[in-house]
Amino acid sequence: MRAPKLVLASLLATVLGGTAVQAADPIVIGMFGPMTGERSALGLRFREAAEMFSEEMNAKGGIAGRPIEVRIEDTRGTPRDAALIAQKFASDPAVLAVIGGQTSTESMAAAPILADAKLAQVAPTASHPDYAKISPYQFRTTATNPTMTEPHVDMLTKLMGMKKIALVYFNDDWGTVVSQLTAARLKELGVPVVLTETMIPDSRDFRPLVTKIKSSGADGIFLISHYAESALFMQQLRQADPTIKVAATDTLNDPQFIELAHGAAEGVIMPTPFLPESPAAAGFSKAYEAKFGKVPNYYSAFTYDAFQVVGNAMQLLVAKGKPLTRQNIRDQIADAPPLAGVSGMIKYEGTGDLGSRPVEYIVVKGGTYQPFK
Amino acid sequence: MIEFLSQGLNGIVIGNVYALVAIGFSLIFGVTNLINFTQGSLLMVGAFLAYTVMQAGLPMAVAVPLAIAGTTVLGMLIERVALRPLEKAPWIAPLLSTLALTFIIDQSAEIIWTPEAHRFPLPFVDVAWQVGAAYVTGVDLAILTLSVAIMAGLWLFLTRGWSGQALRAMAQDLDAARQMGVPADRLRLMAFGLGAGLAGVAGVMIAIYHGTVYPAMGVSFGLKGFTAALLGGLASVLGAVLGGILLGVLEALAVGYIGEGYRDMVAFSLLILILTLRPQGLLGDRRLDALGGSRGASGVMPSTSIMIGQGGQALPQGWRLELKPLWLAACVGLMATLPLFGLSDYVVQVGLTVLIFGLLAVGLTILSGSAGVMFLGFAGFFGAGAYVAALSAKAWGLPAEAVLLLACVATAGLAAIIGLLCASLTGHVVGLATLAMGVLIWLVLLNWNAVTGGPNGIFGIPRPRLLLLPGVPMTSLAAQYWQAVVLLVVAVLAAGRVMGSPLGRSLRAIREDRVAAHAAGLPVLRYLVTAFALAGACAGLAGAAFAFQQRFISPDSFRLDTSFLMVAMIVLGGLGNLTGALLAAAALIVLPESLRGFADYRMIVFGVLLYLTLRFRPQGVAGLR
Repeated sequence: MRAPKLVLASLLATVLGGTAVQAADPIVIGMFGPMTGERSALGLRFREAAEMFSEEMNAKGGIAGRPIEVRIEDTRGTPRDAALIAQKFASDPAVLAVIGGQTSTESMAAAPILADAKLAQVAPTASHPDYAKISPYQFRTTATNPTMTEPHVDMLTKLMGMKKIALVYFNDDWGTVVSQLTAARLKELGVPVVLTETMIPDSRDFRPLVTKIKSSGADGIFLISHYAESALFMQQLRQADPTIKVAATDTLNDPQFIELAHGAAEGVIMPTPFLPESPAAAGFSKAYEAKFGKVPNYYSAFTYDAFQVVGNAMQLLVAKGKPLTRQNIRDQIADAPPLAGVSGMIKYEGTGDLGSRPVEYIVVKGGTYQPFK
Repeated sequence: MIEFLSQGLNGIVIGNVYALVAIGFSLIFGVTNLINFTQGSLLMVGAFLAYTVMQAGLPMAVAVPLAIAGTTVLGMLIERVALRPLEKAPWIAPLLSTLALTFIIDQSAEIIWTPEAHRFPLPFVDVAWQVGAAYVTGVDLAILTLSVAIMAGLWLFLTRGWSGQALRAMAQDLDAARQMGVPADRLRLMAFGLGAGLAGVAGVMIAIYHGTVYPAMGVSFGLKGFTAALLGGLASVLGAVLGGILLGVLEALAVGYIGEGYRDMVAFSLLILILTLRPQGLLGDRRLDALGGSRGASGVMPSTSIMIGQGGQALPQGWRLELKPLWLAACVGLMATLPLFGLSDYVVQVGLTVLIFGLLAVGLTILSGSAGVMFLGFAGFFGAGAYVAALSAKAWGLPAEAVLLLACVATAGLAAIIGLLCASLTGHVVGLATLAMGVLIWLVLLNWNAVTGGPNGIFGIPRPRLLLLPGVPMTSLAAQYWQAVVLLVVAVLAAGRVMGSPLGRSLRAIREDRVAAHAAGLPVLRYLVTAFALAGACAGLAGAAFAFQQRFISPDSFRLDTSFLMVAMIVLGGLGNLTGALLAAAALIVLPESLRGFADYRMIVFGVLLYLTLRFRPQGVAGLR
């Protein structure tokens, strides 16, 4: 397995590093996320992105001749573990920056501790509006929820022409916020939301929900959920209603969604800042597929970009001849010129939030994602 | 009306699936009096085995029988390895040992098949008929036919066949059945194989039903199957089917008329309601109730003690490690020096977590250890305390003492009310009712958005100053650590005092034999509610300390796995033994931390250690009290 190898490598590094010149010491980036437990499918994407980044960097000779080492810690998706891991990273002077976590809640549990330790934290997929407000040390590579509201509402009302909308959201930190923001904006525009329903974690039976949607008279659904649950929802929805329009969030931009839905994903439209085939991502997607035998998804891309943000800042510091310290890395991330990430241009302006990002719309057609026109 | 009937139909369809899972639970419970937590994992393994065989290119007609055979063998292996050696142990030991195996199996499945959901290939195109605003598919009908056929087959087997009758006799009195020449070991092995095979069938059917397989499927369907079996009356196979359908229909109606978010809340509230009013379940048997509550009703032992084994024998006491409360408190006090050694903040934070779980272990020791109420949902109280503390500290800016007092009193009050509901339950039923209680509190935290912030949790919790020491800043980790040391010292002294007093002796008497205690004139209900309140007070303090430590709390921290961790602590330490509970709390927090290097294998190692302790020292490392 990969993890013991990493441990071995780090053990070896500490044994050898004792006497070796400082230049050979690895540059350590900490990463935390749900590597086991029910969210571990997403943690796996984190791990793959980390592995790809460190291998690519080290193949190029690392940073200033020092290899990159990613130290991966498992939160099992719990904030309690995230706080402990944050403290562990904070206490280890070798750790220079931290990537993680997967959910907003685990990212926010770690945030105050990392901020106290002056460690920059780049969360790949935490989209909670308050996350970046915790301190100047918090950054993210995903778009914040508010910046996605306009693209979502445009998609529902203009692209799809929905008149009466049913909102179905996953009951987690992200889903509730997106749903609230969308509902508020639709209200301003005077578009009626006839039904707002939530999916609870572990739920896989959506027939009662489908019946409710059919009875509500909605002509379109906005699906704010994760791919595995959504695939089942679509299967059950299409059995009952083959025609109702469905729009979704970028979380469904995952080939697994199409595969698991057994054909029921056809026609679902979503915005996305990450297209595996787009010019910015093509090289990354190809390498990813060659290495792991699957197409990268949203989580892979944002995690890879989080590493790029940190790696880029380190390289800029080295180029300027500044020492690689925690504080310098944080400052450099904040001041770095626009960086071409696989999910689009990344530039922080004053906060750890990215501004609104160009969004494209895609649709599931013929068992694959195609640009929506 | 159309909508109502459509929702009813939806409910019957999913209830049908629950029933299929519940039958396996009922069979095993009915013939062995064991709650087999691995049933959910076996279901998942069955689905994945079928998936793997089909991935290898073999047709479904080969894959499904192979998968069922595979789970049957695994089930027999579990009986042989995890349960038979524990036959003489207190009933809580096999319960926890199957739980430990669940950790091991689920984690292994994640390593073998990756945690992602996989597409389950369907060799046929399903047909669907629209009925009102709902629909029925061919797979639904196949599942229905299958559960009815299995139910009928089991009924015939249990009432007509010799083996079935012998199995039922074993459930009533193992020793007597043995003396009559029943080959008990072989039959039990067979019962477990059969139960596991049924789990395999259920797993494959669920995989076909949803067209996907994923490692977490065992947990969710396991819990629902459990609830269904309990609703119907644990030992009754017909009850399991009825319970499944009832659960499904009520869930569907809850979604239809309240909201999808309330689905599980309705399911678990219903469970608690039925258990309170009719602890033996809908079709359960109450004839033996006079001989020891609902546990007796399922035919085990005329005693309510959780300490005696299946055959009724007391545990060998062996050596015991137990400090006097004063010395124990002094040892905890010594922990105060930890931050002075110049260790990293990480070590201090691990220490603080140990202290918080120490407080929880003290509370649970009073409730489960002394009073014998096996509370499987203690994380609910922990969460309640944390939220009360977080809200009062953030909204009103109260000093630390006031926040702690408020969390303590509020949680104690909540616990007392829950105690009133649970006090009439005994045996397995109390374990499951309290498990549901824990899930219910978690669901309230998750769904009550206006107050708890829902899944977003509460962020920016202050670390308030103390009224007694207004000049001392409490924002540092070390300050929080010392605050927790003081809390734990106070809790240990108080709990030690209570447990050594006549009240503690009465609680232990209730634990050993509630009927006898009652007959001897003890006000059982009042004592039990007191134990609940004391436990709740400790959980409230722990919750407050946790909220201060984290500065951000969300429902994620108070889920079922946290409850199981606490139960593991007090059982491994030795029920009723404060010293043992604290040692185990320290071990079970420090151990997973030190196993971080093993990342993927951590839960497996944890499961193995739990299993080995139960196997070789079921009375706990430090011994019972």
